[in-house]
Amino acid sequence: MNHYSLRSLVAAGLLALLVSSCAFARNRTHEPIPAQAVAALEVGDSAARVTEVLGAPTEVVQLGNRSAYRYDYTESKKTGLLLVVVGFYNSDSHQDRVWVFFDEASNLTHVGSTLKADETGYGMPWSDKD
Amino acid sequence: MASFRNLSMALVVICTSLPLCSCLSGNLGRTEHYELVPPHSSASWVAGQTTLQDCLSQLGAPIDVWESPTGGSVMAWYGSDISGWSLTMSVPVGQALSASASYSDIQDVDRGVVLFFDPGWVLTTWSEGEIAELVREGRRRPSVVE
Repeated sequence: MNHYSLRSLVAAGLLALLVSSCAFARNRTHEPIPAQAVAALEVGDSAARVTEVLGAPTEVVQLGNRSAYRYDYTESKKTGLLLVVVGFYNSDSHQDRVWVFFDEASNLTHVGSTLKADETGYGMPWSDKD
Repeated sequence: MASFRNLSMALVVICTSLPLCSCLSGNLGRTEHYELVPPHSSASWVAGQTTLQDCLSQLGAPIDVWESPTGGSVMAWYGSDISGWSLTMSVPVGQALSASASYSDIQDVDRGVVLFFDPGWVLTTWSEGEIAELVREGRRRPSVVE
């Protein structure tokens, strides 16, 4: 066996080891929140109008006689690589999240939004996403 | 010739480590979820003056919201970006007995801020640190609406 074929054999073996032990997973919970829908909300809107625009909330919180609705969409991406005795894994999870706050008459007083789900990415533990 | 020596060395390392994988393993991991609260966020907050709108503009949507014991509201912003090594070793010591030991330098804790607002949505106080501890202090069941 010459050096070239031995090198190919070792390379093929290493590749087989790598491919057989790497994994990618993606998980999404609820529906993405469109930025335009959030921008369409205005202070004074009724709770009915808010649910018309954003749909049913994930959570309703009572704050005395006032209330707050939570909307969220979560995206998670996981990467794993096992090299014989050493494993590497990376888990990245971000959300689109909106909280709307209502007064005693169920009129919108505040909107807080964080739309970061699209920043979720695959990578290795040492990866720099920026 | 040098490349042949390197390949031989790689083969030796692989063949030596294969039997080890059943008793020794190491993992390098990183877990990131939500967003870390920017350092020094609280520098601009003034109790009795800063409003909910100011905080929402600065921090975005909170993760959790609940009613405060004093009738106002409490909100939490937190996240984590942790990485580190973990090692696990398992050694058979008898026919149906094995001993194992593990080590990890990964501390899976969320850090952030908890803000307390009065019924007029004005910031009254805040806490920073490990979120599990902060939340434990401020939680209560919702009151009965009359």
